[in-house]
Amino acid sequence: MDITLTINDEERPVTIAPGETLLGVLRRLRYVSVKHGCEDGSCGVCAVLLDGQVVHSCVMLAAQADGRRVTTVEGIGTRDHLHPLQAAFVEVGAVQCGYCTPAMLLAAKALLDENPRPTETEVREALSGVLCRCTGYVKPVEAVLNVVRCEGEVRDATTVQ
Amino acid sequence: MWSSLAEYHRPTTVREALRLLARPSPRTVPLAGGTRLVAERDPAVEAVVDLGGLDLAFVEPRGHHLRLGAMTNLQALVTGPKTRTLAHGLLAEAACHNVPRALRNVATLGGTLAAGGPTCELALALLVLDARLVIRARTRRTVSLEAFLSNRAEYLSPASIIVEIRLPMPPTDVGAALAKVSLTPRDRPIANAAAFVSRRNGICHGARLALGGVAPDPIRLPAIEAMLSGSALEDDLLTRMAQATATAINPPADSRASADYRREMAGVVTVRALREAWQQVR
Repeated sequence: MDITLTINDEERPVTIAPGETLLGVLRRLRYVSVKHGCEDGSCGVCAVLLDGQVVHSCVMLAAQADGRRVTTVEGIGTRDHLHPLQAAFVEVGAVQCGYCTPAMLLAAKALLDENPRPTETEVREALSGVLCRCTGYVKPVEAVLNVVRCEGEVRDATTVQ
Repeated sequence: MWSSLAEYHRPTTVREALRLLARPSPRTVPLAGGTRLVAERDPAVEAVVDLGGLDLAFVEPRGHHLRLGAMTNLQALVTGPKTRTLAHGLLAEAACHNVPRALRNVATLGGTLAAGGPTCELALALLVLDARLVIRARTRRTVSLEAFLSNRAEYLSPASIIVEIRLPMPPTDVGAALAKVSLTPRDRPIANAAAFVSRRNGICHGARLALGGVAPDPIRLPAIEAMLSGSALEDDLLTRMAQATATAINPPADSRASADYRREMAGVVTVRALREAWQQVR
């Protein structure tokens, strides 16, 4: 069947099988920042933004996303122009193996788009759907809170998308 | 990849959805948010009917009731102005429990109740809020959530769709609370409970209790509720109530808890929920 996804602001007609997950289609299209983890919605490494809201793409059929806007990490920053959240993750060292990092960035972005001044509890709640397999959550939380402190940067980030 | 799935349909009318679901073959099931169904990838399922196009995501007061469309997502219950503060935030709290934001954005009210589970907080909360389900098949019928949970298979076959959940608006002199015991804060509860209490002049004028973890789905405790009416909820009554709760149930054993421990904890969570609900009203 044929669907259209708007991925990182680019309209992409795609032919899919009815049983393909959104995760499967995104990786097939080489959006490989979207990671393949548990396949049952528990670990969160497959997170993407759907119409700006964070969702787990492994438990959603691609067909359910027909006509909607999908955002992956490829769409929020580039190697030369990092998103402020990406820059903060680098600066703080909020990365070990990196497998959960794209999902953490998207979960954090969804939070800040909705609430530019979250409390630490709200940051922890927002990241809690993404499981880190290496070290933990202290540094990612610190990185997000650093961005919150630089409010000017956050405003730039939300306008750049 | 859900390899057995050969068809995906997204009808725009309930009638068309029911027609697709009623086909003898391919084997067709309704798809709400999909967070359970797509995760399971049941190899026997050959077609899904996505209910997302049926206009069933709404929260709407009508008279003394609140109508909740079955496709309303859990996050809408957490943030929606009509549901956020309902019954001291009971429904919103239940929608948050053990469900991270990314799943709450997608998982639906109707789908969660259809999928069920022994400690489903949303079912617990809706049981004590006296929820009724509106189910469309060839006819339209309204059943109590309690009846639905005790015989889900009968109410959902053949070819049925939960379209709406309906709650009586809680009066202002009520308290409502959830309580649970689990191995870690994020683990599935060993036992959990919801309580809803009407309190006037220091006397209980009716209570509703629901208990999770002790049966395939949460249950109401009518005999225990009857013990509470007309009394002040003081410690000795609560102690007797906890004992009565423990003897009224026959909980299962699993890797999280023995049957005896779960029985003990069922009494504990029931008292905790009730005490908190009672103290909310002065």
